[in-house]
Amino acid sequence: MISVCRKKANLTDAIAPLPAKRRIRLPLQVVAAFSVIGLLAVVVSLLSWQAYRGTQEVLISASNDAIGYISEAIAEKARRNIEPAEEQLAALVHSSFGEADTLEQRLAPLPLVSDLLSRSTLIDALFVGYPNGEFILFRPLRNETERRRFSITGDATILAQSITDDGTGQMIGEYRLYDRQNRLLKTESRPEYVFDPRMRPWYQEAATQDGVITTPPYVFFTNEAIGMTLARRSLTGGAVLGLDIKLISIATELSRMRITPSTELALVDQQGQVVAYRDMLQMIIRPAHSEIRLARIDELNVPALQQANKLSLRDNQKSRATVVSNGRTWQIIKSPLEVRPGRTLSLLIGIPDDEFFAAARHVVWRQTIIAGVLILLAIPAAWFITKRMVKPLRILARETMKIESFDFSSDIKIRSHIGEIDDLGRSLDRMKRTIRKFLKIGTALAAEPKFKPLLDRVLQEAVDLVRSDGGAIYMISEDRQMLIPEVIRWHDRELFSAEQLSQPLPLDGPAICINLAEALETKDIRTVERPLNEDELTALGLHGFVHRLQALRVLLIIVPLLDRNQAPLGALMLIKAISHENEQFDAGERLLKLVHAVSGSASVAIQNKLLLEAQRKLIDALIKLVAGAIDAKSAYTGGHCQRVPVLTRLLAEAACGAKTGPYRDFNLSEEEWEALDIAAWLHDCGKVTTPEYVVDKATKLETIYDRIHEIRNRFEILKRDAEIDYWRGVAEGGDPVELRSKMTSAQRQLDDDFAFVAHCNEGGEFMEPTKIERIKRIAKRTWRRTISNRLGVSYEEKARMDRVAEPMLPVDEPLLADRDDHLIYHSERDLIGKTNPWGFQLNEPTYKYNRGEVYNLCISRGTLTAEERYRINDHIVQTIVMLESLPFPAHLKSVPELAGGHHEKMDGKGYPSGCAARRCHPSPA
Amino acid sequence: MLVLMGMPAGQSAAEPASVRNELGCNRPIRVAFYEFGTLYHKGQGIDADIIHEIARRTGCVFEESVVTTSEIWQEIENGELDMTTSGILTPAREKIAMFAPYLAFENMVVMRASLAEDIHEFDDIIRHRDWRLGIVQGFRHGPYYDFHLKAIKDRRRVVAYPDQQSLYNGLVHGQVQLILSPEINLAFYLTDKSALTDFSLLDLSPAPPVIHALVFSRRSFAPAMANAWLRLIEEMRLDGTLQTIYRTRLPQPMSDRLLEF
Repeated sequence: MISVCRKKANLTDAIAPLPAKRRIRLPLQVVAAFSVIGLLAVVVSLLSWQAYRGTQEVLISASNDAIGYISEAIAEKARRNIEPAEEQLAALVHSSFGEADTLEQRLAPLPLVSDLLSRSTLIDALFVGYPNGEFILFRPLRNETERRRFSITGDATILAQSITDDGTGQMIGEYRLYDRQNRLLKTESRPEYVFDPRMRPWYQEAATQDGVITTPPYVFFTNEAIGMTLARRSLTGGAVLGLDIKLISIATELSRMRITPSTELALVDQQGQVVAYRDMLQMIIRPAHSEIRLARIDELNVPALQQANKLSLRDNQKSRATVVSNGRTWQIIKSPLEVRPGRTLSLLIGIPDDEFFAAARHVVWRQTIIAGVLILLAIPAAWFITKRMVKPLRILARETMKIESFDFSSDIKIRSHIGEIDDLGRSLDRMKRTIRKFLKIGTALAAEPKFKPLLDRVLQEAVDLVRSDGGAIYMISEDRQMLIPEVIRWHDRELFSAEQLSQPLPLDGPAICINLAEALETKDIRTVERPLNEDELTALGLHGFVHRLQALRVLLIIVPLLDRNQAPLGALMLIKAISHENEQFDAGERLLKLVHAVSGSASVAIQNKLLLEAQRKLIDALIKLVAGAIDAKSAYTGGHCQRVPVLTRLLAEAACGAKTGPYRDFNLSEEEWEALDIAAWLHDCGKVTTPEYVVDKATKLETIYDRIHEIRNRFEILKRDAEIDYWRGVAEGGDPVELRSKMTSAQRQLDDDFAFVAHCNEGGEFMEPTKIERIKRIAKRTWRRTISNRLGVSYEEKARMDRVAEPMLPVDEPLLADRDDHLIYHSERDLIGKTNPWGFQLNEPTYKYNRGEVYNLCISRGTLTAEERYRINDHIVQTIVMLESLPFPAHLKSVPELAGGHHEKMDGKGYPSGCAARRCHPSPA
Repeated sequence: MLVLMGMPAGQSAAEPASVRNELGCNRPIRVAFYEFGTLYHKGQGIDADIIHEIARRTGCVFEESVVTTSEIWQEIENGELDMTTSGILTPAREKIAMFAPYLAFENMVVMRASLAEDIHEFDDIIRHRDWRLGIVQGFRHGPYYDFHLKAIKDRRRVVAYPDQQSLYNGLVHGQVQLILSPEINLAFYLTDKSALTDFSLLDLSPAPPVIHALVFSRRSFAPAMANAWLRLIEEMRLDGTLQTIYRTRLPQPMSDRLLEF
């Protein structure tokens, strides 16, 4: 129930006009301008944001590349450090170092070593450890600092540190200094120089395996340089050769590769020891009571790098995060860096966001300024452009409002450089023209009162629309088998009678008939473009015209005319003769649709017209039916109602034809003729209310039947009574002769009296007073009734009888009686009154009917009582009342007056209105 | 055989016996010289001076002898000889001996000046198929010349002499057109000073000077002893002893070039 109510509510909402809501209405120009500016602002903002994000991504990507580059560079640097050293080590294991058991042998490769050390500045030392604990190390002295570190003065460039067995198991520590030409400069005995290579991890590791081993980076004891040791067993396995390579160059490389000024980079080993950092001093920890060592990452006091070191590496890929440290946001990265197989370091990078994204912010700021300038410039530009755009829209809005107001008078001339607006303007113009044309056609069709001209108008408009040479309208026959040509047009001005030019086309016929039948069947426009053969041209009645135009072919546009039920009424055919001059003729889809629409309206108009015609014929038939029925009601007035229209028309025509006299200016329009004709036919329609026995009352006692028979029976009873009296007298011993004579006399008198009554009943003669006296005298004779006269009577008659009490039976009743139940009163609806809406001047009798036997027999002339005469005259009143009640159209409104005036007289003594000639319609029926 | 005794006086007297033990000279050391002009000739020369100086410093006793070079290495290997002078180090020799370098010089091509004008490299010599080259039997001349000598397929072009004197005689007498000899011996063997101008000294080898060392037989000395001998020679070098010896035997700067190693 709720849903029903809701539906009703929705339905109501749908039908009812929407309540006026207060909506903010802004001009399109304002909306468009601000939308453009707003959109521009949004777009610019989005682009700026996107540019910022893009730049960020680019920077991140670039940083990834940079990190990759740095990693690769560092790794490459490390490899460049290590790989040559490895190669040199690989070469050295083939030297005599491994077998050298004397100092001379160990010093003999000095030129080679010197050359190697001078070429590779990263090699901090080359050394050989021997299984007997002997050791020799060559160290380049590249600068004064290094020389000072070893308390060496002069030009020494090579320091050879040796540990040798003195033959007694005592190890001798010595330094030998050589100049650039490998000439011995100095030898020093260094008893404090105690070193057993066999105790060193590099020796232990390399002695037990093939290939090069590397140590984790560490601080070199001798010179506090940071580096690592590469070691390899000699080829013969007698000694282990090693190279100390410095990683200081990696640190230098690292500090050179800072992405931003505050970028922190560090290289740490797997134990978190800092292998490379921009500040060497921070890298080396000098504990008070233990060996110098590398700083751990957390000892650098760089939180970003500490956090970067905590990042976990997945799949040996770099890891990245953003952290906030000391109120500064950092991009931290940890990237693995394999310096050689099995020796992986981690590159830690911390980049402050404010520096890292400075370029992005700069881009955004610059774009924001540019965008601001653009927006400022865009405001007047948008205002101007939208004004130009909106101007035609405003005009279009006004034009639309005109259309809303059904003002199609002017054309719309909107031209815009904006395609859509231009199209809209053109479309609206075409729409306006089309509607105007359509309305014009509709108005014209509606205004056309006659069928044939209507068809011709339809055809003419269709021909004009399509600019065809001509056309025809065919109406479908009643048996729906034929198309009957109604109108044919050719070249606009020529209108031909269809009968002269064309014959009905059978729908099941050949050639063009097939196209027509298809259009009617599919109920859609059909276009046929082809040459027509002679038979077709003849059938269409176009033979001569098409030949005169020297047409190559003919374009036929067949438009079905459908009624409201989509049943075919006929077909509209437009004909265009295609010749060389107009070979490119194209009716166009739009025109065809318009023709279709026009044909729809035309079909409605045609159907309306047909319906009107049919209704008119029906009404005529009904009118004639009523008139015929009235005529048939009384044989005495036979043909009256059919003769009066003829006479009326003759009289009216005579009046119209009068050139002089009172009717010289009298004339009737077509509609007035129609009204007069209908009025003539219906002038006595009120007679349908007049009882038939009144109209045809032949005797004075006649009602539904002639009551003379009832009276005759009473006379018969009285004559029987006379005979009974005779026999009773005879029976009682009376004189039979006298009694017979008396009986015969009485019966004769009764016969005479009845004959007199019967004669009076005929009403053929004037009732003189003596006759009336005799009627009344006869009436006084009585007859005995022994049966109740209220048995077996109608309800109405019994009601009338019951107006007086029933007498006791047997009762002697007058032979002719005027009883109370003979009086029939008017009903309320029978009374018209003195003041009636029609202005009737009538003297209504007291009773509707008086069926008193004496009263009727005493009618002076004729057979009708005053009441019955009034009833007959009442037919004209009833005619007027009945016709007034009919919903005549405007042009037939005069029908009641015309019909009701047919008993009026020129002197005003007619009825029912008793109007004078000047007030009455001049042509009553 | 000459027995050189260490001088008890001076520096040598200060040397303890432990030093001699270190040097392995707690017994007489059999040292062999070979004739090589300035280095050694008839008991005189740089090598003799050095041995004498060592004896003086260390108190070591040397039993000197003069042997041909080919015999020296045989004896070193067999342990018949403890020590020799001016030995050139080769891998093969390293197996039988240990070394203590004390001078370096390079061999040069000596030839008549008239022939030397178009000679810029050793191949120029090889191209003169009619020239014969003189060398000392058993001498090593350094890798450069040794390889080029091997390259001369016609062995008849190489004439081996038993010693330097024979070599120079062959040159002077035109038996050979050129010889290989160190600079230091040129003036020694070309006693006729006027002849010096007839001959040219061509340094065709790009190699550094060939180091000449004291040679210690591995049969006679332990490596630690060789180390001690090395330290001794280094000491003599660093204290100028070697330079003094060289300058007494050779003019400068030729004498100083002997220490350019």
